[in-house]
Amino acid sequence: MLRRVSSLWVLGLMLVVLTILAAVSGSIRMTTLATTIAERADAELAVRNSLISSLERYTEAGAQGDVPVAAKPGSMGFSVTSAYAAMPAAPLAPLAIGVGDLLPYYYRLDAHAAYTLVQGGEIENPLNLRVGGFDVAFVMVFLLPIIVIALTYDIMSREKELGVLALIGAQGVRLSTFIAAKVIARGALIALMIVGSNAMAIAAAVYMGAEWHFGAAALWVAIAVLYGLAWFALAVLINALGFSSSTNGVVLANIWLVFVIVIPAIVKLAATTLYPAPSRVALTTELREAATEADERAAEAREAYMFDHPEMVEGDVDQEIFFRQVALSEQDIAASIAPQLEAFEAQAERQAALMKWLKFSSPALLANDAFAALAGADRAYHAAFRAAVLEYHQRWQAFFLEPLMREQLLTAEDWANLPAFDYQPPRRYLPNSAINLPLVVLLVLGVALVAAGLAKYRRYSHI
Amino acid sequence: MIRIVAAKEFTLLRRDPRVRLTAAILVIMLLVALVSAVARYQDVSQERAAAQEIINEQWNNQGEKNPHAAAHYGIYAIRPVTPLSFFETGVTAYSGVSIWLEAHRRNLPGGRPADDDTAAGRASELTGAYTLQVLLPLFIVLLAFQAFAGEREQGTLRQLLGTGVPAHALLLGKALGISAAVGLVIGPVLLLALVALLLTPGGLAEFPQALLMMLSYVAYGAIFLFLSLAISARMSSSQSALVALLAFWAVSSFVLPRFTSDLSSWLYPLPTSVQFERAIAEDLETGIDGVSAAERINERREQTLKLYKVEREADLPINFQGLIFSLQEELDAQVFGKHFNRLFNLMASQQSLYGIVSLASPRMAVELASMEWAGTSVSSQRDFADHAEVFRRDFIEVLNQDLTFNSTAGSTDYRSGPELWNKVGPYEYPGTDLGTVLSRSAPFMLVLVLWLVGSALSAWLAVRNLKVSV
Repeated sequence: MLRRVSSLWVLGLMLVVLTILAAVSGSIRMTTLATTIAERADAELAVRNSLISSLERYTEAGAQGDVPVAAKPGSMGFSVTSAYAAMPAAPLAPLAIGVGDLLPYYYRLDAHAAYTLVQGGEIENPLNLRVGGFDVAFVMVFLLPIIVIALTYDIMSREKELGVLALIGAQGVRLSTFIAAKVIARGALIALMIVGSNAMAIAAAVYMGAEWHFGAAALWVAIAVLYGLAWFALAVLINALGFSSSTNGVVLANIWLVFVIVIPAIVKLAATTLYPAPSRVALTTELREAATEADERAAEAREAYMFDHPEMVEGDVDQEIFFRQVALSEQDIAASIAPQLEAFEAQAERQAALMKWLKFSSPALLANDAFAALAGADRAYHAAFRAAVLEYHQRWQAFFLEPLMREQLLTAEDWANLPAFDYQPPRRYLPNSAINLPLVVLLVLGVALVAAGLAKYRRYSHI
Repeated sequence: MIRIVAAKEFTLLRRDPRVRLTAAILVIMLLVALVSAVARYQDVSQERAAAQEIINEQWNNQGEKNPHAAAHYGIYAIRPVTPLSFFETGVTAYSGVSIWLEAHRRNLPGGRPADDDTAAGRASELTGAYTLQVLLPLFIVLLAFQAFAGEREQGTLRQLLGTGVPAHALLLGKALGISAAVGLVIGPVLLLALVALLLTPGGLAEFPQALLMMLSYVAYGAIFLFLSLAISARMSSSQSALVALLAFWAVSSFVLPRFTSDLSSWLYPLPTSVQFERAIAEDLETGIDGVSAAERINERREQTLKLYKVEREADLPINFQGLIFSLQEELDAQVFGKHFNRLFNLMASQQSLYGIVSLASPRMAVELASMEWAGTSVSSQRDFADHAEVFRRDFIEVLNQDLTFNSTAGSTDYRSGPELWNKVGPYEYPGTDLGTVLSRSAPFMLVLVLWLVGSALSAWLAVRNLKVSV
């Protein structure tokens, strides 16, 4: 009994320590991201504001002499200034990395066409990307089942092996009462461990700067508890089959292997084999083809050499002519590669649609997706952000292209109307099917396992 | 004596239904991984080769152009794939496959395959290497955890020791019996994989790497075998042996790698892309040694005018603009070299942290070695980036020299054609040579050897001091 109690403490403490460690690590990561982008956006703003004030001074002085650069929409839009659109972090962002280290968390946009916004994520060591980060979602999805199994794999078989069950029978205590008491007590302890460790992780994240959101936090804990208890119910059920403790251990290890490792790997392979992403390399060559054709058309009006070297073209007006041609060429290129870009989107959507169903093959996938959705670290959260960025890019681009095409100069008043990025990500968690479906399925799974266990234990014998 | 112990162990395992479940999972995963690797290799290698061919054609057929316009047009270097890289995918999904080689700029590889795959699940990948790294040890643990502890529980250990069988014979017998069971399960699949490799175009060239890789997995399996036997001999019950071994497997295979990933980012933070670009831009502006490019160009102008004994640029028999381009490339290359090397060195430091932690995790050691063998490591990606950069510098220099010596100042209408384009390329990436691969994998192989010696020794000590009850 003493050994039991101490292993409960050790494993419980391990869960708490790992969870908090993961939350702290995630929080540090989020802080770094936020400060990096804020610094850059501030620097950008400072440059732009100083250029705008020189335009103001120029206008006040009666518009004498060289036109300041802030008045030229082409130069400003295409080379001097740009906007940073950063993805607002979800409240639980430090708890799950998801695809957060893979996809860009900000875009730097200028007056160039939207297809130039294909930049990848941050500079990262590909080895770290492959291994994945140590986040709370990993601790819950991957390690929590192991800890639950370690605490439960011999819950009844051990009692039987030690002869406790026979003793209980001899003392006149009903076996079902004993089993129910033992299972409920152990289950409650495990649930308490899960609630406690996640609550501490969320508290650590909030302390380190994450936003507090009760609904999100409650759903996170609920998913963790349901997922952990489903594994607990499974282990209790396996115990009802009457194998020896070590057989229980082997069987449970295999089940863990199948649901946490094998099925996710097969699902990933299935999705990428059935709907492989189109070739980026082929897109590169097509983009190049389109650019060459557009360049050739543009070169009829302008020397290609000048095209590559705007700095070699003398005079103010020429710069703007050059950028006008860049804009026209890019519209040309954008139109010709639109079908290829759409093919990427369409295939990604097909993969996502397939994954939506395939993830029901493993509770680990379900929990993982729900955690990622709660932390704003899934593809859907990013897709919504990217759509907002593309919409913002249209407004930003129009701000420069409209005067450029009309051969007008920008005034200081125009700059007051520079489009701003004011995207607010959706905060509705429960209507999100990536969260509510796993919640329901895990609950049903847990209830089903408990029911199966009850049926089995009805025929459970003392020896 | 060894044979009898081995035969008994093997027969017992063959009759254990629990073993069959894990064996079936292992074999199915290996087979699926193998089939999908063969299929994907065909597709991806053709796709990459075709793309490089199109790019080389686009380059040769770009028509008459000013050489510097051609330098801006540039070439794409595409990283080809090798058969082994589908057995151990390593970092390939997370590293760019193509680099745009152009004038004035050194670009990072772009187009990471992982960016386009919606399928989640970073941790698990259905490849041969992943299956061996993760499932093989579990299989061995499940085969071996009862070897001594089980006999102890059933009381047969007393009889066994009573026969007077020497410790080394007992250990070797058990080890051989279990190895036979493991070999029977995965041996045929691995042989099949080797045959598939030989039948694949380009497979023969990678055969030595493949054999070394197999060897490292054999060592890896042996480590877990001896560890399991050692623990089984020391623990009072097979149940506690199982829990201890599973805990070690889970922590060393899953927790430590991810932990190292985070730790490496804390200890050796990489610059963000914004910081990286800004640092390069600053150095390009001020000059790497504080002497600006403009000053250097003026210096070179004076020298050139003096050399040709003329007063004005326009009187030079060469195009001074071409010389400026060459000089700029030279200066820029120093700046790019400094920052790219700094970045790559930081990644190398991060990787060496993985190497250090692998002292506590055989999985990490075998994974790191295996990525080197397959040419899918971070260092092999650096080789590609460095190789492409050398090519970039060379071909831009060819174009700049053409501009310098075949045109004169201010002749912006100068045009070159296919003869010049044909002097450049086609771009071909040869991959990392075997010697380099060997030396890079050596530290990880050493870690594996240390583990092997350590685990064998601990098993021998445990068996020599075998107690009937603990």
